Amino acid sequence: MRKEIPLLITLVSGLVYVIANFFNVPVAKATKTELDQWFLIATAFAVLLGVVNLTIIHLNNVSGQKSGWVYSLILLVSMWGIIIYGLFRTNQDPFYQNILYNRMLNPLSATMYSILVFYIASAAYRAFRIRSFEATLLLVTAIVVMLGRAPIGDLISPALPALTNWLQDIPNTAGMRGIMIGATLGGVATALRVIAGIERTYLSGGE
Amino acid sequence: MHFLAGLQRIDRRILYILVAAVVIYAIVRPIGLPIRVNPQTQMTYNFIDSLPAGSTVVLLLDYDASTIPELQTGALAMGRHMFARGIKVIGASMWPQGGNLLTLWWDQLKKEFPDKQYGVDFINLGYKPGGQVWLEGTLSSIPAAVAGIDAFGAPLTQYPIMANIRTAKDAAAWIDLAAGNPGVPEVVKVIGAQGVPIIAGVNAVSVPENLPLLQSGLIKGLIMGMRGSAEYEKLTGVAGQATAGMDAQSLAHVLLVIFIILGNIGYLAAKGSDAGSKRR
Amino acid sequence: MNLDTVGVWIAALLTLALYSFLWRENPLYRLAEYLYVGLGAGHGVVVTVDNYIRPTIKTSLLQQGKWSYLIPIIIGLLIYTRYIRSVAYLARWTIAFFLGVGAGIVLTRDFKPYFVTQLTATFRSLWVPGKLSTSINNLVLVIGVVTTLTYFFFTTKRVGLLDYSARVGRWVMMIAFGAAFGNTVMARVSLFLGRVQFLLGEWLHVIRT
Repeated sequence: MRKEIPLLITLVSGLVYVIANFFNVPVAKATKTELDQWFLIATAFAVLLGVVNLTIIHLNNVSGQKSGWVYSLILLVSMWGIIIYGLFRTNQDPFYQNILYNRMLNPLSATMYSILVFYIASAAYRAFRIRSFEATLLLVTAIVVMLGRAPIGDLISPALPALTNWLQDIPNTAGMRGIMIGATLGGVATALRVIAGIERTYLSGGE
Repeated sequence: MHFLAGLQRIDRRILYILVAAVVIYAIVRPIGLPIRVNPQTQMTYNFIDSLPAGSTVVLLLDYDASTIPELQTGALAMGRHMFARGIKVIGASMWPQGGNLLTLWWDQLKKEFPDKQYGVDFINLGYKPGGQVWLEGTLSSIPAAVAGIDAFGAPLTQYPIMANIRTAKDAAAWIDLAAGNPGVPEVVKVIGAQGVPIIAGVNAVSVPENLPLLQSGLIKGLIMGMRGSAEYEKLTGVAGQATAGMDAQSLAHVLLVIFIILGNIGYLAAKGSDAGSKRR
Repeated sequence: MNLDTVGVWIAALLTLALYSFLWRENPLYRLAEYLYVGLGAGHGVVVTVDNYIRPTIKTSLLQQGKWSYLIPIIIGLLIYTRYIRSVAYLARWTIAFFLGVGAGIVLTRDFKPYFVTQLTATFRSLWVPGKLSTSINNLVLVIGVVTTLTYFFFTTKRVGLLDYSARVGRWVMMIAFGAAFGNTVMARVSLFLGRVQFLLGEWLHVIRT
């Protein structure tokens, strides 16, 4: 029954959505509305999973005094510190929004992703080579779009932003649409396999 | 080996320093390059302009702090436009930082529109988990989908803005500014499927995959990254952070194109040099 | 020195600590990195509990008496059984529920906008009288979509017309990826711009914000 019950859960929950959407069955529609709420509640209560995982891994580092354990301690203190403070504060407390979010999490989050500009510059400089016709096509398109999307494109030539818009509106749309259609067909096929119990990789391990 | 071949091996830290230098220079000494408005942004502006005064829209800020320069600037510009036209805004988010970003958004606009009141002209429903399934829940009842409270724990029943908005379809439009998943595709699939007009704003990375949605009519307008936000600022007549960054954007792009060209000159020189020495 | 000034300095120093990685990895960078992970993970829990778990328990369960919500609460909590070896298999029930709902949503929501609407939007007039540019654009769009789709035919041998079509499809995708790269560069530069505007404006007051 260890594999049958999860398969049954998947089948029933998936079928409720299918019947509610494609057939006019009031009890299915009502069940689907209830399942929506159940999904939200279950997702919310599973939110601690990442935190539990991080706690186990980094507590191990700290207790075993492994290399870099001080950083693990910083992670644990900051994570549980913000959780405990956040859960017991009043809603009007400005410290959480003004300091913890605006002045710590916000700049850390923004800076972490902004470092990518240097990596993409370095990657573009090193990897973009005219090795073949297709590589050249990609390179030329990238250069046209980069210059055309910035205001300097208008200064270089009015044809540049016009060409950029054409490249984005026509060939790019065509390519992306083809990929989108193919991906949707693949997604629908996978969804059918999951509901029918043919796709069972999520059941493997942990007997 | 040809001396030009060395052009493909410039130390990456020189590139880093140059990128930082041109950006800092352009921000400290703006050039003032004119910004032309693209049709996608104009469509967005025209749509919001066509909404009757007093209508209510749902504004989703589905991104985190890293995308503030691209989308928060656009959100502020759209917010100015909507408040100037008397449009009410229900804010929500499918991303954990979205509620805080809505607070920042409201705090900024409240200074510019002191007559606007929380609960009357704007409400922050905060972050709600569940992504697309949360959106499904809003089709039957928005209050139920948000557990009956706003981002600060206050019951929705006390706020006039929620009086006539029970379900997703009661809003005049849904505006989703998103940097990934969950985001625009989910809103299009669930809310758009009900015939509710959707306006999208995406970071530049997501622009190519959202253009087919605009072209097929699934969304009524598209703000394309920081450039789109700068264009919207121009249309509303208030130059903000996005406009201020456009010169730096231009110079950084030119620098990168120069380095790509240099790298290819070096590559071709090395290739020619290798071919020549093989022949000899 | 007020709290806001202290806050700006904290934000600036954390920003510079992360940027120090560009020179080489160092303890300041690692401190900022681990702090970011800890705060980010914790913040997600706080907003979820504040915005959903607490009101669900208080309003839906205790005030409105919707005791059926205990079932999804238990389903959600079952995911933590993965840490207890003897009952770890129960975590599959949670995953099965999420997958079933997710698959149901894909089947009912994805097909129309991402397949049917995209196909119908591709049915464009190949000849529009009096509008040569529109005709050419429509032709390029239709050929582009069809050839891109033929590129993904991996179960048949690529000979003749299919081979040419797949090659053209590859070229169309190269243009799409080139446009994607150009936009990605724009996005990354924008992220960096925001930080520079903060450092020069709010922190050093070199520019007006």
